Amino acid sequence: MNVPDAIQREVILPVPPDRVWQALTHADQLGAWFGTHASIDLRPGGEVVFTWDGSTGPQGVTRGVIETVDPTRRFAFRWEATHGNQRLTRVEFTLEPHVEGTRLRVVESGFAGLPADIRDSHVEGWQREIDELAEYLAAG
Amino acid sequence: MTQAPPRETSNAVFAALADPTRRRVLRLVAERGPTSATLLERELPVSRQAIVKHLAVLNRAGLVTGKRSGQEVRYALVPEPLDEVADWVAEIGSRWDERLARLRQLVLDQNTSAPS
Repeated sequence: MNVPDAIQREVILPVPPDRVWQALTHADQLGAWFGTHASIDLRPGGEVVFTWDGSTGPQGVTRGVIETVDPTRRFAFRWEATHGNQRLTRVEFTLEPHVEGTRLRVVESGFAGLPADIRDSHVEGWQREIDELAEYLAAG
Repeated sequence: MTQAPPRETSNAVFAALADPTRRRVLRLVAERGPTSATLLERELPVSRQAIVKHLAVLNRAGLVTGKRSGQEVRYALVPEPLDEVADWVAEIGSRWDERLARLRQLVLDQNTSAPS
């Protein structure tokens, strides 16, 4: 199946790429939007650690290993997709200049263990399939 | 419990679903209702032994449950772990939406405050 192995989001931010880059890679700024605290060793192989205090979702600490540092263009790390789950997914940020500022794309990939149907970011579609499965069960 | 992070069982569920043949087995079990390895063998291009193994993996992951019926074991779908998987993916997507909204707010706030 050709369904991409990823969740993807894209936003246009009204500031130039170098400002977005700082928000992505400076610990104090990264902590402000991504977790409640972050520490980062900005180099390939370096560690990024996110800490959540529980105010914006489950409390916890998630560690990642940085893979790509291409200033103002690309930043990627591999991390535990969610607390308590050992699967490592890859998070990649791509920055592009845009008339309004910066186009930022986020791709979280590596849901290889998931069925292709789920990997499609159209979660509703998958939910429908599950509902169908449940109906089959009920009907049986 | 939809807000809870995945339990340890999720890894077994993901691993079980990673195999395309196993997904077909699961789909057939869901479509046919309680069914046996012998019945599944007629519809799949794999051996009965392979189907039995796939059913065992699905059973360990909590995706099917087996019940003895005369000479054979009939397997039925347990849909709850699939709900958990769907919740997990939906949660990852919505966390990104929240994070990116906060990122937007952060850069907007920086923009309005004078740079040092």
